[in-house]
Order: sequence, then C-alpha cells, then structure tokens
Amino acid sequence: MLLEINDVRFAYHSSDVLKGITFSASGGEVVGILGKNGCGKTTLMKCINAHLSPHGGCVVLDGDVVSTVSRKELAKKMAMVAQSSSVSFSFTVLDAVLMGLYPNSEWMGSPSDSDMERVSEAMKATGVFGFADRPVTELSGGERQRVMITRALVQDPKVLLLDEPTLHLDINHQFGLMELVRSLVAEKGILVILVTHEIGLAARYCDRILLVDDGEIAGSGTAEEVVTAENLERVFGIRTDVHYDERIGGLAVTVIGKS
Amino acid sequence: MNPKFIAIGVAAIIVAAGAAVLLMPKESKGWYSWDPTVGEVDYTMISATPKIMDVLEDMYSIVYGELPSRETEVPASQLLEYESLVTDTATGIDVQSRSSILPLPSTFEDTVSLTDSEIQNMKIISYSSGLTDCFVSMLGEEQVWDTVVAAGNSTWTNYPDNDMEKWGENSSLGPEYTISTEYLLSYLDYAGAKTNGYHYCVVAWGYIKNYDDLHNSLAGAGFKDVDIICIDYYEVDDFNYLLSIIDAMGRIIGIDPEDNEGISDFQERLYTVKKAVSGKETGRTVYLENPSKKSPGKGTLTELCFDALGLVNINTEDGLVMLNDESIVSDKPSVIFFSEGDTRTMDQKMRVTM
Amino acid sequence: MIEGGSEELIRIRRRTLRRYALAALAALLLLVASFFVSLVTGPVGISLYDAIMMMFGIGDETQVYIIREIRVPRILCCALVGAALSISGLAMQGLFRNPMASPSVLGVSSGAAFGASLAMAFGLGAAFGSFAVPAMAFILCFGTTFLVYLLARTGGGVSVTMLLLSGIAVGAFFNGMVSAIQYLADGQTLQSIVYWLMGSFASCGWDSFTLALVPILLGIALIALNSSELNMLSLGEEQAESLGVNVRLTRMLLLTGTSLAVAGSVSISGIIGFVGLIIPHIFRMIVGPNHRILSLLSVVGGAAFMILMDAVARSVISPDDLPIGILTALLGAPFFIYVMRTRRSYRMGAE
Repeated sequence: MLLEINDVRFAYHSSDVLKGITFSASGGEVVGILGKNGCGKTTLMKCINAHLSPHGGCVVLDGDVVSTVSRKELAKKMAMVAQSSSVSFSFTVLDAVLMGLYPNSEWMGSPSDSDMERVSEAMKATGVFGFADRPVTELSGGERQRVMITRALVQDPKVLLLDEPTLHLDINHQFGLMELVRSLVAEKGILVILVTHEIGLAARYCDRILLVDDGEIAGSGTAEEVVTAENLERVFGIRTDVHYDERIGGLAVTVIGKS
Repeated sequence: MNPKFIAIGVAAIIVAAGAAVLLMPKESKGWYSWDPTVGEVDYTMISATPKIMDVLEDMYSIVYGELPSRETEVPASQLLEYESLVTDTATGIDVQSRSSILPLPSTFEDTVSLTDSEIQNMKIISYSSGLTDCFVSMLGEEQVWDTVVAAGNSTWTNYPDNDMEKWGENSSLGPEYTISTEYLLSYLDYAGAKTNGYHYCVVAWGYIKNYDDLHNSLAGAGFKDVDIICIDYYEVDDFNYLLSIIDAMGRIIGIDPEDNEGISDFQERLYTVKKAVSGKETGRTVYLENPSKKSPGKGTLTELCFDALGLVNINTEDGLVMLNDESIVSDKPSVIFFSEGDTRTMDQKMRVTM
Repeated sequence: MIEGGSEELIRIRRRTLRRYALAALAALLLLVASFFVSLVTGPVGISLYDAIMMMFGIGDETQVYIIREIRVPRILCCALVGAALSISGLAMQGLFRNPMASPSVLGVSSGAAFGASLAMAFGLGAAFGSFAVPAMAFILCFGTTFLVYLLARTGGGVSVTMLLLSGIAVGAFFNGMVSAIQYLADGQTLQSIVYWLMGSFASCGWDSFTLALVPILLGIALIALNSSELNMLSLGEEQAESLGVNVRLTRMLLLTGTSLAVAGSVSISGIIGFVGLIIPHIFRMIVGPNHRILSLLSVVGGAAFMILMDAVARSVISPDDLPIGILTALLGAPFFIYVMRTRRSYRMGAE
C-alpha cells in the first residue's frame, strides 16, 4: 500500500494555502503532520481524503488518484476522524459504530455475525463497549471522539486519518488512544496519518514527521531528524530543549520560552 | 433494516395498488347521473342592485323556458310594499343615512336634509355600482351620466369609463372600497363645485371606513355643502328594501315614486316572473355553487330568487357555506346553477371523472 | 455498563429491531383502522358493513356513488399526501441536520401557491384544460426547487446554509407575488385563491389520485432509498463522505424526491402545513433517529394522520367542510407542544 502526495497545491480564494507538498508513506507507520495553526495541515488532510480537490498536483493511493475514485471505493481503504464531532441526532453508540460497515456492505444489508465480532473487538479496543446502548449525545466530548474512532476502525481501512485526535481528550485518554494507534499499526500494518499542533505528541509517537510551515515543507524525516531545537525555533518561534528520554522510550520536548 | 420488511412493504404496495385498480370505476358521469337542469348565471349581480332582476329572469328561462312578455299592469295586491327612507319636510326632504360600521364614525349624520332647490340642481357622485345601477334604471343608460358625474371603480362595472368620456379623467375616483379623499376633492375642485351652482351628493354603501376623514376633509376644503348619503348594504335582504333604495335615489334627484321608472320596472319584472311561475309545476330542488365552491343558503338574496321561482334550496344552512359533495349527491338537486365567472370547465363543475 | 462479547451486541441490536417491528406493525394497524373510520365518516350516514360492500359496487346506487366516487378516492389522496409530506419533512430535517426543518423551508410551497394563483387569476396553464391549477402548482413547485438550488450554488458547491437562505428568500418573494395577485384579483377569484391556500381534500376524486400518484410515489422512493445515507449525514458532511457517501448526489436525490413529493401533494390538496414538521418528530421520539425505520413510519403514520385529520375536517361542522390546513395547524401545534414537554428524556443534539 502506497500513499503518494505529489506537489499538491491549494488556494482558498486568492491566498495560497498549500504551495507544493510532496511526500509518500506506506503501511506500518505513524506519520505526523505537524505545524502551527493555519499552516495548511488540515487543508492537506482534506486533500488526502479527497474532500477538497487540489488545484495543482495530486494525491495517489495504490496507483489511483483519490479524487477520481468513487466515494465508496475510497471509503473502503481510507477512514477519517474529524476534529469536532457535532452530532445532530441521538444515535446509540452501537448504531453510530455500525455505520462504519457501510462502505463494505451491500445496499440495504444488515451486519453478519462476523461483522459483529469485528465491531465488538473494535469497541473493546477503544473502550466504548461499555456504553454500547447509550445515546451518543449523552457522552462527553472525549468519549464521542473515541466512538468516532471506533467507527473508523470498523471500516477496516488501510489508511487512517486523524485530525487533531487528542484535542478533547483527558491526558490519560490521550495515552490510551496513542497506545491504541501504535498497536493497530503494529498488528495490522495500517498507515496512520495524524494531524496535530502538539509537538510533544508528534515527537513521541510518530515514526516520521512532516513539518509544515506556511504551506511548505519545513522538514521531513524521522522524529529525531525533524524535531530539533533549530526547526522548532524557526517554525514555532519558541526555544526548546529536545532530548531522548529512556523512561518514555522516545523524544521529550521541554519548552523553555519564546525566542 | 431487514429485507423482510422491504418485502412486506413491496407486497403491501402491490396489494393496495391492485385493490385501487379493482375498485376504481372506469367511468363516471358525475352529477349528470341524475340528469339535472344545468345553467350559468351572473352570480355577481345577485347583490343589492336592480340588476338582480336580470338574474332572476335568466334563472326563469333556464328552468321553465322562455319568459312571457312583460306585464305592464301589476294588480295592486301584487305590488311589493316598501318603507320609504325619505320623509317630506317643509323645505324639501330628509333622507336616512345608515352604516353598520362599528364603532360608528363620530361625525356620522344619520339624516341628510335636502332642499327643493338643491334637489333640482343635484349632481351625484357614486361610490357604489349597485347604487349607480339604480340611477341607470331610472334615467336610462345614456342620460344617467348627466346626473351621475363621477364614480368609483368596481370589479364588475366600468362606470367610471362612461363618466370619463363625458366629463374627463377626474371623474374616475379610484377604487370603490377605499374612498380616496384626494380624488374626491380634486374632482370637486375641477368641477368648480363652489361656484357652479350645482349641489353635490356622495352616495355610498355604509361600510366605508373613512367617513370621518371624508366629512372633515370636505368641510376643511370648503365643500361643507356636499352631502354624504350611506345605504346599509347588509340590511338588504329582501326585494322590498331594494325598492326603498331605488325610491330614495329617485327622491334625491327629484323623481317622485309614481314617476320612478326604476321602481315600476322592478315591480313589473318581478310580477311577470311570479305570474309565469304560478302557472307551472313548482317545488323542484335547486343548488347554486359559486367559483369558490360555496353555496348561498337561508337568508340570502339568492334564496329570495329561488323562492320567487318556486324552487327549493337544498342548502338549508345560514348564509354562504360550502356543502360537502356527499350531501349534494344525496339530495340530487333538480336544478344546478353555476356562476358565469367560474373558470372551471363544466366537467369539473359537474364532478365528471376520467 | 455492558459486559460480554459480540453476543451481547447482537442481543442489543435484536432488541432494537424488535422495537422497530412493533412500531411498524402498530403504524400499519393504525393506517388500516383510519381507513375504515374515514370510510364511515361523512354527512351521509353509512354503516361499516354497508360501506365495505359498497366499495365493490354492492348496495344503493347513490350511496355506492358516494363511497366509490367521493370517499374512497378522497381517503387515498389523503394517504398519499400525508405520506409525501411526512417523508419530505424527514428528508429536510436530515439534510439540514435540524429537527425544525420542513419542506416549506425550501420555499417550494410558496412557489406552488404562486403557480396556482396564476392559473386561477389569469388562466395560465389553459393548455392543461381542467388540470390547469394542479399542473401550474406542480410546475412552479418543482421549478422553485431548482431555482433555490441554482441560487445556492457558490464556487465551492452547494452548502446547506446557502440552500436554507436561498429557500427563505425565494419563499418570501413568491409569497409577495401571491399577495400581489390577490390584490389584483376580483372578489370571486380572490375567494378561490384564499380557499386553495388553506388546503383541502374536498375536490379530491379519482382524477386527483391518478395525477398525484406517480410523482408522490417516485418522490417517496427517492427519499426512502437514501435512508442509510441520511443516517450518515447526521454525523456531519465530511464524516459522511469519509464513510463513502456521495454527499452531492445524495443531496440532489433528496431534493428531487422532496420536490416531487411536495409538488404532487400541493397540486391536489393546496397547502397543508405542519405535517412535515411534526410527524417525523413524533416518530423520532418513539423509535430514535434511524432513518431506515423512520422512512417507513413517516410514510405509514403520515398517511394515517392525514386520513384521520380529513375525517375530522369533514365532520366537525357538517355538512360544511373545514379546510384541513386550518385543522392541522390548530390541532398539530398544541399536540406537539404537549408531547415535547412531557417526554423529558428526549434530546435532540449534542452541545
């Protein structure tokens, strides 16, 4: 499975948001798209899942340009969890998760027993099994986020896109989520693309990082290569101390102050 | 959602469709099935106007055939009696003016006094086509415009056109229902009302809302002499009152009841119809439907016409109501009238399907 | 807290499906019952047994006529219109992700009113003969949807907000036009227009039924077949897309289905409000937001509701016929308020 982003450009009205982004990724890794708010990372995410059509360049998944593939076909391979989940109707958690079966199901069909097995496992993995029959509207923001992620997992995708997944989560849930993400990558070999502005998160959990600054790539490579004090000062305007911490088993970033 | 449910749903639809096809009759004659006599009349003339006689005569010919020639001698016992709205005074007459507006305008004059000389020099400004019709019936279609010099627009007549031809644009006074003070004053000005020696009288239906405004504006602009006579439209529920109105309109232009051709015309035509009906078999049931599917019932002028024709109205409700198709079909009216202004096709009106 | 494995989930699902089946059955029974109640309602008294016999042509000639030519087609028209308006309301609420939406939000009823007024006042649509008024109402109703859609298109496609604004603007415009026509019309035409605007089934015979059958059934089908998509749309357009829903296509289908269904309804019965708003609401409160069961319940329940309302309209001031639009507003609103306030556990959306 190969995801290629070739010189993607995009502009909102007359301002260029993406000025030519190129990189590629394959299964079995967690790629972080890191940058300040407004640098274009969410726009890039929307180009990857074909919600937006790039004005220049293209996004290719397994040899197909994503904007030419039918929605349903794309949904079989790629799942996305959006930043904010505003649900207008009070579905139960189970019903919401079951929607993830849609891309792979026949028209007007119902879930098979093996489908339900899969759903059950996914719900246990994300910890939402316990409130399967509760309306989604009664849950907290973080719990709802996890329900949406469960739904994405049920889609059985090869690529999972997460847009600021830790935004509404308590810190312990943040850990839980990221551990889950890493284990999924290890077990199933999927590609997870994670958009975030949280440096520590990216540094700790991503195999590779794409550092985006004002619509352009400011750095690309492994966490160690990209998350350096110079890069952080250049892109974020802060002074930091970056070092490997054995206790974490990854990079730790201490923010000292503004530069 | 189980495919079972879908299968059930589809089956249900097929069954329902099949039943509909089975039950659906292939053709229907609608109301023609009991072979009624059907005709169209000018429903808008069933109103407070002498022209209601036109409608009555039309109805007669639809039901009974050609109307015999006009009876010119009406026996005294058959003459309709009516109360006069006019009383004689030493100097002239007093005319009753009535309005049913609530609250009654504060400046309302319920008695309008006219002197003989004013009557001699009378010019009429009419805001009611029904009242103008009275003048037409007395003076004839050509002469009337010497007397009725200005008129308001109504949706049923083009009287202002006649006045405008003779007197110029200013005699068209805007809509009947909302009397424009401006137009009225500008007309009076244009006609030289203050100096030309004529006496002007405004006649209108009593439901005008801006009576006070008119009264005060006329006084304020120096036209204090101009009288306003109102006839209460809603009191007109029998032919007798119509005669009272024609009489009153005659008196204010100096025509005595004995010489009032409008009255004699009315009495003769009514008697002609009644006499012709008395020689026929009466008692047929009747139904009239207006374009908005309503039907006049008890206490309406339409029913008066039916009574005069010896027809029994299947609508026994008060006033104007819409009857359910079922009751009409159940009663099978022998005569059915529709309005000439109804845009539906005859098939639609007679409920013919397919 | 739920414990266990997939069997537990399967049990929860089965329980839900059983509830749905019960609700569907109840609605179906209600529909059948309402048919028979309405069959025996009317100024001319006919017993239930007689009425059933007369449906097949057996009995007194006049009464058979009343049953077969007047009551049965009228009831069927009520069912069609009730189903059409209810499911259109459901579609609009799902599309706009707002439980307050109804078909009138797109301005289509105003367009239909304008078409009908044009036919009644100026004789437009004379080419359609006796069907001038329904044809003009239908054409303008349908055309209004496309006008609204075109006006809502911006560079980035059609957003739901733009549709709403466009619908309100177009609706207001046509309302103004209808008022203008009313002002210019003479007394009798004015009465006809006002009466038509109030909504009534009094003139609905077999003609009306055959006229409205195809567009309404088509419209209902277009909406019902997109039930799963409606479910996913409620998660948000972007999320729905990532689940594989072609949002643009779905939106088009829903709009087309709604305008067909509403146009078909309005052309035979005039403007009847409230039904598209409250029926989906009530059923949502009973079975939850799953559009697949809601589509079925809206169609069946909406039909039953309209049939019963019409039966009341025919009997409350007999033999006069009360325009049903008045009735749905007067009865519908307080009932809805009552249900809304007593079911405290009812929640609509997340903060």
